[in-house]
Amino acid sequence: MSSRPLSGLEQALLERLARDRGRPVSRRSLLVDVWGYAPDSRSRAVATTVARLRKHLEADPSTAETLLTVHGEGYMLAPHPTPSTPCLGRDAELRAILTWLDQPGGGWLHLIGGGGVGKTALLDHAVAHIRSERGHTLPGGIRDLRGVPPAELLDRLQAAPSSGGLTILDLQDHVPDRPDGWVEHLTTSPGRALLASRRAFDARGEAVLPIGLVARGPELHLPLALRLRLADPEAPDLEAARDPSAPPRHQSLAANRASTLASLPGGLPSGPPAPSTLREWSRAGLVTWSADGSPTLPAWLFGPSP
Amino acid sequence: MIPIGTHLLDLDRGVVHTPHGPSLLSGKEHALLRLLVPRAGTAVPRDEVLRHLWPEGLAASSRAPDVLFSRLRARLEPPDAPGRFLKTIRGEGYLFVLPPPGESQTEAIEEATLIGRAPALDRAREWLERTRGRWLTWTGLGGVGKTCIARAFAAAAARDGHAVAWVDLAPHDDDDGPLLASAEALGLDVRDVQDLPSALRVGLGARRTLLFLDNLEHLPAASARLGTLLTSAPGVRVVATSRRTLGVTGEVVHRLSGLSEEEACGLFRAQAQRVVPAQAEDLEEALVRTVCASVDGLPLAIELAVATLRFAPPQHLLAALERHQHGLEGELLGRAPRQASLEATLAYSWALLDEAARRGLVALSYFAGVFRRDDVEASVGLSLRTLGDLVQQSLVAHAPGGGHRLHPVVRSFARSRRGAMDPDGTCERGHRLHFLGWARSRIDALRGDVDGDEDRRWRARLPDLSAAWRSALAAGDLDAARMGWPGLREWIELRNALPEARVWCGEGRAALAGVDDELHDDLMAIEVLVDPTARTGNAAALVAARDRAADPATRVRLGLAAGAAAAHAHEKDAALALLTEAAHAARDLGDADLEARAVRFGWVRHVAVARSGQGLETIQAAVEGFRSTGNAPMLRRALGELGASLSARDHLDDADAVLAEALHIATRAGDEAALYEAHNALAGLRRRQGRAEEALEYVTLAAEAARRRGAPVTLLAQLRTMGSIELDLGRFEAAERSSRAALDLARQYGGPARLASALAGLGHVQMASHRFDDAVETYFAMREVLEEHLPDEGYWDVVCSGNLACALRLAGRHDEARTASERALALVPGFSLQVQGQVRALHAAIRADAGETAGAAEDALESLRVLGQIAPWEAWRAVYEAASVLLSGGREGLVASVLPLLRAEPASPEKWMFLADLEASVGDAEPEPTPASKGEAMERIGAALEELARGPQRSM
Repeated sequence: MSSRPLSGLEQALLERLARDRGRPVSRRSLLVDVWGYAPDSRSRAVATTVARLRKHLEADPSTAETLLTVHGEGYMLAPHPTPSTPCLGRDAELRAILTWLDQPGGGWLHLIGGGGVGKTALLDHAVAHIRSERGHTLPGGIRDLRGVPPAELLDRLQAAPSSGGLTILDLQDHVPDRPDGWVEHLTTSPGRALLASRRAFDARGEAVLPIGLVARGPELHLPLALRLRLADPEAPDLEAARDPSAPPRHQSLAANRASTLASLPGGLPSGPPAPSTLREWSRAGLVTWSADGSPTLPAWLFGPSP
Repeated sequence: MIPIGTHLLDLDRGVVHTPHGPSLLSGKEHALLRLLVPRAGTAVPRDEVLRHLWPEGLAASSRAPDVLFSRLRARLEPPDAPGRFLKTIRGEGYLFVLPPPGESQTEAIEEATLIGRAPALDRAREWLERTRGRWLTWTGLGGVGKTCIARAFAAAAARDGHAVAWVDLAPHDDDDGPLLASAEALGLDVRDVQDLPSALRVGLGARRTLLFLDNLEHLPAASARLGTLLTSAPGVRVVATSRRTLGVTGEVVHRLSGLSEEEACGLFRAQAQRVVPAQAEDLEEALVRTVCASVDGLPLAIELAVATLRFAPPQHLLAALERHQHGLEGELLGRAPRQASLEATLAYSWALLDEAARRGLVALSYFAGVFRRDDVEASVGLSLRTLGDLVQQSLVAHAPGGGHRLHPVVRSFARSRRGAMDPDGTCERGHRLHFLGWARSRIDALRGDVDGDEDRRWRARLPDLSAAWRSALAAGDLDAARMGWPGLREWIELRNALPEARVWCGEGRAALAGVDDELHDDLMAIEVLVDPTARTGNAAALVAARDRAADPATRVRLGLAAGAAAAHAHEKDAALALLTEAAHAARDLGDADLEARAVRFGWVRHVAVARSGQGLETIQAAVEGFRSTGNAPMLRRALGELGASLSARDHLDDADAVLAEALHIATRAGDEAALYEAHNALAGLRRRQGRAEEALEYVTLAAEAARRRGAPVTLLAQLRTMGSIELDLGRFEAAERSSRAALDLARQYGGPARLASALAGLGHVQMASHRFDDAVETYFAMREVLEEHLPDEGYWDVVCSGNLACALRLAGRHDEARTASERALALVPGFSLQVQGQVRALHAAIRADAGETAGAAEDALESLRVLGQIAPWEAWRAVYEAASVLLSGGREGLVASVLPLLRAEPASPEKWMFLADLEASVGDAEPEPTPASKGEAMERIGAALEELARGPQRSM
């Protein structure tokens, strides 16, 4: 792989391909969108730039695995590989996503939950599954916007609206101040969306799937805790475990708590939560309900257990 | 971006975004759309298209424009809906139909909300196609789905080739705005309202357009002007949505109401599948139904209710409904603000009301159910005009059976405005005084009610009576409570109205304790009289209350209640004394009706306590008493009791006449509960008369009455009776079917006790069908139920063990039978004489099987003694078991002499079985002289048993 920085043209080409990741983009579209040529231009520019880009992306540019040629159609950035993060104990959630997908009509499904519960992992898992099992039957295909910085997502969407199909969005820890813009976009653009974020918008037609802790036998686990344990086997306890390779909010349990609390108005309640607090926390997928209907807030958010 | 079906049109850049990616329009395609789209809804003449697109000139006959047009259609329109957006209007030109706003993406959401709206759409289509009506208004409560249905109708009309224009008038609140917006939608370029008439005439001429005006409720004046103006454009027809009727000339109003229960549940489930995919499958039917019923099938309320399931479990939804919130607090993004929550929806309607209407709405919130105009006028002083106004605003609806009602969601909203509109509770007081006064004024009518009209009047008012009673108690308005109570009491007593007795008396006692002792004690008396199981007062407390009561009638009631409480506590002598005393006190009072009631009630308790054969004259006296005072409901009940007791005494023909009269009264009153009782009593009588076919007919009628009333438990009892009559008739399969149906009902509706009892019934049928091993299995199943759910219920254990013992005996499993029967015997002390006697008799037979003749004879004697304490005929029922003992003691001759008596009795399969058994065992033994009567037979049997009990084994 080349260590030279990407040229502007290479960067633009990569971004264009990333926008339709997993779907072939025709040479003609690339010429129009990246080079600004007239649609009927004939040029070798695409082929040569692709070759240069491959030197950056591929371990062996002669057998491309990332930037693929699709004969007769154009070029395609390979879909995200099957997630490396294990996604165990989420069968029920995956089933719920597929159930929703089988419903006719538009709208969006919102995966919500606190930090480190594995929303992104579940999203990756679900997308990989949908691609391999349903990809060819899904009308409109999949438009994958994972990897776009969350703060820019809405602008991106508004600038280039969906043309139908399923849009995949990962907002990570980004919580929009006012979800109205999102709601308006999602309700008026064609097709539908599967998104993961910290908090539901609570809008009309919005389907919600709260993601909680993973059950392992009788116990419940925060998936992040497991990852930290694996990343830092030397740490004396979980609180001390660090994973410098993770995004800052997932580098330690304390960082994860802080980032989760930052997205909740009012922070941690000291006594029994007020109804309004409870409502906010439910919207963040953080409340679990016992069989008799009483609420429980997640213990892991309240700090290290003594 | 303009949404066109699943596509998005970028008119500036000439790009169509399709689900398969963007595609570029050709230059001519782009130019044509630029021409058509801004004038959507209006046909652009063909020569204008030619001029613009082919400025170099083109033969008028050229097919080029048509080819271009169809190519554009192929690109833009879904293949299944050609002509949806682009149309050729013959003789006029080309037309682009702008899809109604919100179509495409939210289409599917709207589709779900169209559940149950097909009939309304059909009606509208009929208006469109079959009439020449100029103006159709859809009215209904906010959130009922007017805009949804209008959108669907617009889309359908566009598909059918109508030119459609759509205006949302919610943003306009002035007079001219709506007119100009409508003109613009019609494709007219009008700057001033003054120009509108001529613009309409000239610009539109006879052109046909369907103009949709959404949300007109706040603009009645503008609507009227628009209606007048549009007369100059005869091609324009209007479809409006509004919460109120608009009063435009020629307006046709189609009222939209909430969905039916089925449709509402369908909508609930469709919404749930959409927004809570993980839970949708597991939602309980009962939850869905409760929620849908409590919001009266209002689509917006259902959508909001389902939305709450995303964040909280169903219990919370139910709890909120119980607090009368009806999801008033929920709010959803992505809807117009005044539709985002029910609170906002109703607040918007509220804002459009004048002061009188607001006060009226709050006054109506005190009514618990359907209200009649005269009640409303008399109680809260609401004028007919205001009521009519509220009906027009869709806030008050016509009730199906006459009268009006508030939508439950509207009521909840109005309740929340009580503090502001009725701060000193004047309306509440008016409501309370009206209904409590009404109750008092109806006492005589209630007593004389033979045709059921009065009963229906009361039932219609029960919710309001409860509300009034509660409000009097809560406000400490003792005058109102004292005024209303005699009427309420009369209803409870005459109708034996258990639910009302429990609620009214229970709440009244709690509120009046220490406040008004006399009233409190009277409530207590009535509660105990109607529901002797009520653990509200023991006999001593009631006697004390009686002794301090001042009013003689109250004293009688308290005395009766004390008797009832004593009877319930098995204090037989005290009960009889108290009841007799109360009846005498009533006579001394000289109030014939009270006397008859006391006598009747005393008799009922008397029978319950003593199970004796006395007192026939007493109940006859009560019947005559009610006849003389013209108290029809009480007369019917007393006749039923008289019939039952005549029948028990074998005066079957007299019983027949009495029960026929009771049935006659019940039929005229049309009261399902009374009909049930009458049919049930006649079924029992016919059975005793040996007319099993007729008995079956009556039981079937009683079962139907129970089914109509929706009383599964009563139905269960009828199915069991049906089974046992079918058994009498030897219809084993039918009997088994009935018993199994009863068992199913018991599984569904009954507790473990009913389930156990239904199993006992099935076992009985199996025994009678000679399927002893099946019966044994059934009784073992029953034992499992008991051990799991009713481990401490000795009575059921006795019944189960006794039956099991009997089945085991007949199945030839003697040792097991012995164990089961001993278990029953060990448990039996303390239970009724009947049970004790039967268990003992069975044990005697089992011991006789084992050859223990002396012990068996002792048991048989004991059983006859115990049963004889109840009545001679009860003892006679144990004759079969006694005969088994006699056979074991070698007294075939005596048994043979009794056989003719047994054969002469009405037959039942069980008896055939035992009889055949006895006949076979007697063989050709020489019969002793046949006894003249059952009594004589019993005497001889008793003597023989005594002899056997003393028998040689004992003396050895």
